[in-house]
Amino acid sequence: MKSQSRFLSALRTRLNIQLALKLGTMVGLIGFLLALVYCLFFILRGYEVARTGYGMILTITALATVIVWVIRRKTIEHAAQFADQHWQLKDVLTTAYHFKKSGKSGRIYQLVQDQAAEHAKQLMGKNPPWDLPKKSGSLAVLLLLVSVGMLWVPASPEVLAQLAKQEMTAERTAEIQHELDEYLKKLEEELNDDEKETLKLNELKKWVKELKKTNNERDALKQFAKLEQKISKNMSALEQRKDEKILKNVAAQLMKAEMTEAKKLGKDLDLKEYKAAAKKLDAMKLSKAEKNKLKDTAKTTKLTEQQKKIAKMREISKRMAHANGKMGKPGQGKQGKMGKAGKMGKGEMGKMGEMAEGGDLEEMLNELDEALEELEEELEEMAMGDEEWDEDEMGAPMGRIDGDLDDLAKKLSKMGARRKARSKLKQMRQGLAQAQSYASGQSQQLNMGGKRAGEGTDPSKRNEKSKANDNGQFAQLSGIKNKGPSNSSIEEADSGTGVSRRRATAKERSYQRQFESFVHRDDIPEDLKSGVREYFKSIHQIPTVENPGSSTEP
Amino acid sequence: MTTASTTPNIEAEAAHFTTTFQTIRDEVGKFIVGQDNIVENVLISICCGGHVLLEGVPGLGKTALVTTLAKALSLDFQRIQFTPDLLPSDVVGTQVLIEKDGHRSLQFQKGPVFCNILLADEINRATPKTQSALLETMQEKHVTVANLTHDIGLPFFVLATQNPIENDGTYALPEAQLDRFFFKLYVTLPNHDDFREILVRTGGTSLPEINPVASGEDILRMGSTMRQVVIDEDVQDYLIRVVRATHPNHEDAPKKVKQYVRNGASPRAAQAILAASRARALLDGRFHVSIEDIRETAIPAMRHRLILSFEGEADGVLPDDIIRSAIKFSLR
Repeated sequence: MKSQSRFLSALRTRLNIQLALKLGTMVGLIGFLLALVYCLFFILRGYEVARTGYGMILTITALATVIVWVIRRKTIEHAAQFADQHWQLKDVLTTAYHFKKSGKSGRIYQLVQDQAAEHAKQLMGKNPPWDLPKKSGSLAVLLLLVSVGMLWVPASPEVLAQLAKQEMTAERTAEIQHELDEYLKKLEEELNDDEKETLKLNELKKWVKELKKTNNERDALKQFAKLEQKISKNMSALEQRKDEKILKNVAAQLMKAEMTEAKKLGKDLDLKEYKAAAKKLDAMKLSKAEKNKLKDTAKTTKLTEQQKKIAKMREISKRMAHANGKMGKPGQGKQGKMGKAGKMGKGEMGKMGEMAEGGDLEEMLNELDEALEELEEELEEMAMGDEEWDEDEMGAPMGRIDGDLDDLAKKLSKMGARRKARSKLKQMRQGLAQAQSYASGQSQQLNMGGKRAGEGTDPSKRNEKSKANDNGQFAQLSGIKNKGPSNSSIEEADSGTGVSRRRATAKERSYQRQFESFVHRDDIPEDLKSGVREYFKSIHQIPTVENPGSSTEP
Repeated sequence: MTTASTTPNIEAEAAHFTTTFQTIRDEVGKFIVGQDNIVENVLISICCGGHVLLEGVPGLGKTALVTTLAKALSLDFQRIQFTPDLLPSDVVGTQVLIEKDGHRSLQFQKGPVFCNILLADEINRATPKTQSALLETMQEKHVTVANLTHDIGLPFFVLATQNPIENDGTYALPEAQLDRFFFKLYVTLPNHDDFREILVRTGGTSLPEINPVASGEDILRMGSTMRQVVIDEDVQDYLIRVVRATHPNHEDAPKKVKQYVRNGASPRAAQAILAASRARALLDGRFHVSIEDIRETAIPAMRHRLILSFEGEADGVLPDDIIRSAIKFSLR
């Protein structure tokens, strides 16, 4: 009985070892095949094999082998069945095992057990031959060796460059975002509330926050281009070219004046120092004391300080109003305006404040000039002794002058703020354009708004040079002109919404050249040629329009 | 714990079984040459109390085998030559009018079935009615005539023969009767050496003398011994699976069975297989039935119990092939 148990236990152990080897081979074959496919998946694309995944596949294979072995491992009963079949014992061991297990007793059962024990005794020490899948095992080992060998295959130079570029793009997008954040923080510290509002600083912050760190160059460029587009849109909204042109003319006129104040004001306007100009205009206002003095000295023929001040103001306003070609006589303008004012309702009168915000600058200048002209006339009449000081008659133009000066100063302040905001946006847009080059690796330096003195050195140049980075650069250097990806292709602007950077004149010239080339052709009749020539001459003749400001110079 | 009800001297009984069996086989072997497997199966059937249907072409020694066996067993032997005009009364016996002392009375005249070994020669030549007369006799071991039942002494075995090629004037045995046969054995042509030996033994001036070596009691004792052989539950399950696999309605039946079989083997077939397997186990010196025993005995025990479908008959499918597929299909 003991011999039977010992024999079956030994056989079971051997069968379990055999099963483990078989399962190891079969599961290993699958696992190693997967590992090979995994390695090929990397290598065929030029990448280095990721060892973590490879290790995981091998671990899963080993675990699967163990799990399947535990589920299918052989019992004593299996061993008995195997022995019966292998040595053709006609089920004696299995039957004896079952009888023993079910506790059957009796002489006949004992005889069965004795026979089983006798067989076991005879077979003790004999082992069935190892039944192992040799071909599959060899194949599994081969697959394992090949896949292990693949672990040491290096990535291709192209992939290295690509990976380095991705890494660089990720780093640079993060750096750009950081720089943008810093820039916005700096703006927040620098700008006052009005300027922040004009700049829409919070909106900018939101947009910058929406930027994502990415290693995809295309995505990175796309998001920077989008931001640039948004900024451009904001810049367009801050456009005040017309008003600036008016003020430039005004500045030119004022610079011609002999008066120091006018010249200073003109210089400020010329330099687009609108805030300073606004302060100067504010300083021109008559104070309450000055107004009272003017009342007392109005009758005198001698020019008082106040009258001189008004005269200076008039001089300046006249130049300002006439710089942009004021039409008609001042009196007519006044009447027209007064008539308009008389017709204005209460609500419309309230819009005067709005004029200061975004109203017509030219109109404001005329308004001021007319008010000053009116006051001057009144003062002249009083000096001639024709009229007495009338509080109502004198108060109205003086009030209008103060109001107009306030509005003009406000307008100039606002323009100053818009100009500043626009300048900042422009700077930011330029920075973003540079950032796109930087993110795509075309530029090695990110210079958002320029570096301060002494900070211009690129710290990255001090680091150990990476081969990968160099590769990226080499690829760029060895590029063929007009063969590489264009940055401009990333964003498609809607037709007609962009600002053309090419001058219209240049187009016209090219168009002219084209036509002239036609003109030179022999098959074109001479009269038609001369006709075309004359046509272009006529359209390119610059009209000698005299500057209205200069013509009306006093 | 289960205890088997065995006689105390099972080894002695087993030894008697083996010895007797071998003795009878040797005695029969004096005359019958080259039919060891047939002789063994016939002897197993006899030990199990079953009837045998022997099928083979004329002249292969079927009748000789039975007569030799009867001689060796020292049992009462009768032979009926089945012909189309054979009547049931010719088989089981009939009431005859007898005049004795001036009185006439009907008296039962025993038929040839009242013996220990009945040779039903060319059984498929008789009409179904006559064939059916054997039904009660084979199963119940008694005969009922004129409401009177007459017991047939034990042991009682019917060894029937039939010729497969003589289809003219034959009547196929009904399924019910076929099921009564323990084994159906095919007697085949002997090989060259056996042929020569047959000629040597029977071509001379004297024939081998067959002596009785066992009695009816020995046969009954052997049957009793045989029934003590144990069977493992797994092996028994295998036996059941094999028998069930011959049924086309069984969901796990092999495709061949589903296609060609109309009716599968009955539980009586399973009983026959088990009994025969036990005998084989004892002959092999074992006290347990093995799967090999089941495989060996399944074919002769079931081949006549399978009723083939029209398609099976048309395609000439052999029941043995179907049984083999069921055996293979039912492997654990």
